[in-house]
Amino acid sequence: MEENTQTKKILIVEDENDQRDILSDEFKDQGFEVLIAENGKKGLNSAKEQRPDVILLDIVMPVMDGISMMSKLRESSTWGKKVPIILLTNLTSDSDRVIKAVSENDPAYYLVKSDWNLENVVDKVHECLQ
Amino acid sequence: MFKLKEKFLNLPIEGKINLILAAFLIVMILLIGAFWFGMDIMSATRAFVGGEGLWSKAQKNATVEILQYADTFDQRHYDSFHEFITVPLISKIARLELEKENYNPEIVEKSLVAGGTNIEDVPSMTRLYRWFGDIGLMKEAINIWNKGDMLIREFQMKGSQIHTIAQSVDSPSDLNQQQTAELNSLINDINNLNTELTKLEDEFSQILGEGSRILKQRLIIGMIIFALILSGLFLLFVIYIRNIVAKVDEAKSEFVYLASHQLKTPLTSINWYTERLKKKAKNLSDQGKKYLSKINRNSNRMARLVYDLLNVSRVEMGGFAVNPKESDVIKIANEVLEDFKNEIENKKLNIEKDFESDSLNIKIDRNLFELVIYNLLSNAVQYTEEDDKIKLSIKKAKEGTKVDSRIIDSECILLSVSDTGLGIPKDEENDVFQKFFRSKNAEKKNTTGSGLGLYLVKSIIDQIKGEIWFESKLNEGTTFYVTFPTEGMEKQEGRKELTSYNK
Repeated sequence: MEENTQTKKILIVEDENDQRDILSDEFKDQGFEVLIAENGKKGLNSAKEQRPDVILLDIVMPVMDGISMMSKLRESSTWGKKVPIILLTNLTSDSDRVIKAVSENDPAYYLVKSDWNLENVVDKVHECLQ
Repeated sequence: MFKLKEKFLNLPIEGKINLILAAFLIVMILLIGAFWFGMDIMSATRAFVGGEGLWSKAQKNATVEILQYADTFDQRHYDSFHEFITVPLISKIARLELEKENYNPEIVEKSLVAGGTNIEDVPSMTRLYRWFGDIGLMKEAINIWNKGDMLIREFQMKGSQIHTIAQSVDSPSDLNQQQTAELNSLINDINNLNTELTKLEDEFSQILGEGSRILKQRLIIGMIIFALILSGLFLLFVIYIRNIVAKVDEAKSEFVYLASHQLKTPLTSINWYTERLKKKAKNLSDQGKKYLSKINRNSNRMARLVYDLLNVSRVEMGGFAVNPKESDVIKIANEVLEDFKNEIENKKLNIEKDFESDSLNIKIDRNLFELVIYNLLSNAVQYTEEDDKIKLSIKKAKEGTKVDSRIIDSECILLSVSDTGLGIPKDEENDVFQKFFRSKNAEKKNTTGSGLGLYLVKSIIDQIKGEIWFESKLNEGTTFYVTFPTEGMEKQEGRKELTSYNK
């Protein structure tokens, strides 16, 4: 029972199958309860229903991109305002600029610049859950 | 008109350019043609006026001779009269020939040359006559010529009549009254004809003079119009090319953005899987582990290459952004050094740091600074042997400081990376910052490298008003120096930012 309260829920929103799978595997191994979504729209619904402890969010996705999902979630509820969101990015300069615009004054915002290493992503998740 | 425009817009780029160039060429040819044509007519007009001069001079001389003959009955004067009168008579042959539909150029040439015209003027005179003989001033001039020829004929006849009278007696004193009266009347006629001819001769020159003045005016106007059309076309061409270049530029940056994203995604997956595999596959053999780390290294290398290409293409598009922020350059340098930890350990390299202080805050664009220091360190690490030494130094340099063979001309931040590697051969020194440059002795060693790093570094340094140079001794090592202003980098707006490597 005690263990259950410690189990953290993570929502992974990523359109790339392989990357979604491996992130899912990694966080399952780390003892997370993993929720997945393949675009921003599904991610938004899942987030509202399941209220994860942390959201890993890709930026470039079909249907609804990460930036739109993030701003919609922030407007949706008090919980939505506070849930930590980690943006994953290749950091091509255009998205960089958009991120800057969105993330200003957002205390629950994190950015994994170097999503190149899985380890960095995992570290960031732990950091924002502390 | 609208359809033509649509047709033009539907042409491929090459077709449009070719079309504009063709228009250019046509106008150019027309311009040259008009110029040649104008000059030709001018020259022919001049030749006609010149011919008229000779014509009237001969006519004057003939008048003088025939009058003297009438006075003296000296046969020599009559012979001269004949000789002079031939000139107008012979040019009449040319005129008559030119009037014919199928004229004989030889006859025209012979008679004009006999009339004193330079042979080289004949073709343009012929053209002027044939093309413009029926219009305007040229027609008037030819009418005058025609009238002149008729008068000359009369003139000649009066001459022969005088001759007949002169033949009938031995000397002027033998003339009877009737003969004297006849002779006087003839002399009177000759004088009248001379007056009339002189008038016609003046008119002829005046008309041709007027013609060439009008021609000159029209020629100038024509030239100006052609020149305006040409410049208009040129302007169109330039605008068009500029638009194309802008579009191509946009397409290129779009392509680079997409390509980099598409390349990066599978590379990231590969990297993540290898990472997971490393962690999970505990039972993997040593060889398996070795292969795994090779996969890892190669995918890292590939990712860096993608970033290099991305950055280089952005640099080449020009005007990348510089966003300076107060940052600790020493801290950044240490972080970048950290990226090379594994290679430094593997090669047992000895790293010497020589920093101004523990921290040094300057307004710099972190990305750009990272790219510079990363590439310089990467080269140093790659091209040194095991147990070699690399020195990284970041210091403030005062004006007048001597750095190897250079003297610093104003206070700056001096960054240097020295290695004890292969060194750069003298004959390659000028090419070091060229794109895709790879030193021959580095290639021999088969060390990996794209030849993009230093090119990128140089482009960045140029943009931030810094300087970069190097000192190298073969087989002893190389030091790269970079300076930038102590006040840091200036902010610059740009369409693109450069990306430092995701480590």
